[in-house]
Amino acid sequence: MPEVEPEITDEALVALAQKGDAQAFDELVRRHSPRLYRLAMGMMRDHAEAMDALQDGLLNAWRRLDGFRGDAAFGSWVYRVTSNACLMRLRKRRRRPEVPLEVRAPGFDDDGHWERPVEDLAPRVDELYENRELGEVIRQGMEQLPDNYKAVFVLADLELMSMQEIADTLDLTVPNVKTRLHRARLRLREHLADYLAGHPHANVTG
Amino acid sequence: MITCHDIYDRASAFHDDDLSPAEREAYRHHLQACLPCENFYRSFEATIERARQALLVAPPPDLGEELIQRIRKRRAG
Repeated sequence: MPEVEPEITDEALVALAQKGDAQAFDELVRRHSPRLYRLAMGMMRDHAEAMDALQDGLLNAWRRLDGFRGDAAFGSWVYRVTSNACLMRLRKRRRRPEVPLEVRAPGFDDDGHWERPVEDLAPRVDELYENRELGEVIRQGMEQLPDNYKAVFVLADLELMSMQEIADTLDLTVPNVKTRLHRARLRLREHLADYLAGHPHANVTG
Repeated sequence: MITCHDIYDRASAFHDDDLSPAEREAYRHHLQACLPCENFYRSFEATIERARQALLVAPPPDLGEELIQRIRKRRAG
């Protein structure tokens, strides 16, 4: 089976794939799958589900390739198609409509001051990270986020995409992305605070 | 005058460098002068930074080939 030369650009591979060259599309899959896998793992939580979502996304990309006109880079386009495939799977799994995320706001007095003391959680978050427990705790927190909030958090804070790129990928406005991102971060911080409150330092008690 | 409530509401804008220079300076000044807000913001930032480190996974080495096989089967089917 002849290998596709590595120097060939995405644009040239897309042109070949649009004429039905499956090997050209395979090469695009090889190039873009590591980044798409990170996206899918962030959205889907486990490897098997991430692989199923990636398969959906890449098949959709193959089938819709004729409609890809090259206005954006292939990488951005396939990223968008894959993130939609993840959202579709999450929606099926959830089977209930998305509601805006309510964050339990802390109490502030009339002058805007905190009503209760605020603890610095950073040292204990570091501790959870060092003990390799943090990933699971964060994933549990992410499960409670509505799908679109989760997607915004993954794209912004794991993939470090710009607000505009996220808005384009998820068909949201930039102010909408910012609101969702802030609420998702606050909710995850709250989830960590709740978890830590229920799990006192192991080395203190025993 | 920026309040603790504003610190809470604008934490992402500060983190993402989405405030005007004057707002940014006022935000930073408040954090330096207010321990509860400093604690809140440290926790907020630790959540974001550590979540990223904890959730980023390395793709399996045979990822591309496995996906190609799966797609070929579905294309043929």
